[in-house]
Amino acid sequence: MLDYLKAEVDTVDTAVAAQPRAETETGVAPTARVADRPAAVEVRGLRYSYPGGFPALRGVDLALAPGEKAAVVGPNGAGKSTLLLHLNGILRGGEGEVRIAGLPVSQENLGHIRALVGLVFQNPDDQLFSPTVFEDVAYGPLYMGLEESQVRQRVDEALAAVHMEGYAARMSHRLSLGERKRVAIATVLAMEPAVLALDEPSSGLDPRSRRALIRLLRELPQAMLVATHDMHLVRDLLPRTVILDAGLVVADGPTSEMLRDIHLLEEHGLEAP
Amino acid sequence: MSLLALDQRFQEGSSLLHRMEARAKLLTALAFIFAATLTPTARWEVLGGLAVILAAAVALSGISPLLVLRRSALALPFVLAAVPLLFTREGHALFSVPILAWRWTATDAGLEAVLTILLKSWLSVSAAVVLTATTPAADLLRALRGLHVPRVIVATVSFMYRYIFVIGEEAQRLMRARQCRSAVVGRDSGGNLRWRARVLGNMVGSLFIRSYERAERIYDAMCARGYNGELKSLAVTSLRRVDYAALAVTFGLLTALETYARLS
Repeated sequence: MLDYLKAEVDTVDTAVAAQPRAETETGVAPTARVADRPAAVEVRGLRYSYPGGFPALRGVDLALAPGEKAAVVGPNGAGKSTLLLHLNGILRGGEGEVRIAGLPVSQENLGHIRALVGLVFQNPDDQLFSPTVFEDVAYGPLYMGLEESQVRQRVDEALAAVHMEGYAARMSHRLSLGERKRVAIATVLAMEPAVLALDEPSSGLDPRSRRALIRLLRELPQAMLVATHDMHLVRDLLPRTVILDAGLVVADGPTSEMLRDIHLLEEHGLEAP
Repeated sequence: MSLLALDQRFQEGSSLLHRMEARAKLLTALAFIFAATLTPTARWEVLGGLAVILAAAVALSGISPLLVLRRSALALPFVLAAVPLLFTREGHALFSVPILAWRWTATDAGLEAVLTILLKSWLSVSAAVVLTATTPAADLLRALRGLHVPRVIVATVSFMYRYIFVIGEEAQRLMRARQCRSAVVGRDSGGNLRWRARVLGNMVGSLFIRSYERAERIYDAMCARGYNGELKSLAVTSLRRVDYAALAVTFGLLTALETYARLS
């Protein structure tokens, strides 16, 4: 699956850049235009309120082409994390529809969806819940029902992909934050997902670890939805930016254009890098 | 903080004991503790025999005997619970001490009982010290799984081991925040006992709520990677011939010692 994604990255990038953007302020979803392949992510009219009634998402439309990398930015409480938690069905039960590679996120598809979407939580201490790095990275493949030899191979490959070879036997809590973030990404890469959903991947990292993380994410062929406040990361890594505010997509377009629109950014509590 | 030193139990090494399979080591240690517990009172030569086996294990492990002694001191406070035996067993009077309104008379049988308990607990704790110093915690957890300890229990212990550090650090941050705001100005600083107790209560409560919320996030992270209520794990490593041999030798020695203790 990885190879096939890799081959497509270049073509997708150009296709995405050429894609006309819909006026999202009227709520029309920009749909992926990659011919005869379903969008990696397709979200339509998604509404969700937390128990207690706080409306976190109030009708979100979003589509991501295979291999496309997009940022989701917006002030605290805009619904960024809530949106990510919908991609693999951790949160469900609101209105609207989420499809991953054409497959609707529903109870019966849940196992399949979770293999397709790699969700990386903001705090690696939540993501890494096993005593050793190996056990954590093996967790996903194990639950996918793979043979032991395949699980071991997946772990080796995933750790190599995040440049953490040789860390398998280490204890997670002894690693630095940057290392833990990398291992957290490896835990989902081992499942060979088609989509990566990353929540604040660069928060708390020093500049060097941050640069290393950006380089790493750039190497990955998956479609990527990155919720972040780090506008440098957005500028350096993500060609497309979606601004979410108060549970609505208020703007969606090429990052270079969005970052020039100082007025738009300030209106939604953001600033240009 | 002693809590944070918990993960420094394991001592790197490549000795025979380090290379032994974790399950075999765990079983041997348990058998040793079992034998120590079963030893009758005042059979010094049997306890001596157990000490020799322990000393041999320490020598084989290549860890410093001083380290074992230091860590096994952990057992001493618990021996205090046995001290009343000194005065309550029937036997020849040794000495008596006045405590409160009574005179307490120590007996030779009481002394034997206390010494036996002291030695037994020290031997048992030392065996556990050698086990944890030569086996990484993750391997011990795998060993428990391999010995068919219910998976829920192993998973619970494993989460506890993973998060005790995270929660310990959180507690440390809370205490530091309190210290930072506990300036001493004048005589009435720090508040009264009641007030301080309330602050501590709030800290414990906040720690609990944080842990609870973290548990929910961890559960989400598990579900995101396919967790469906069933606990899965990879197969454990298999026992080699050397492990079986070590098991047979120690089990044989222990059985011989205990049989001798009961027959003679």
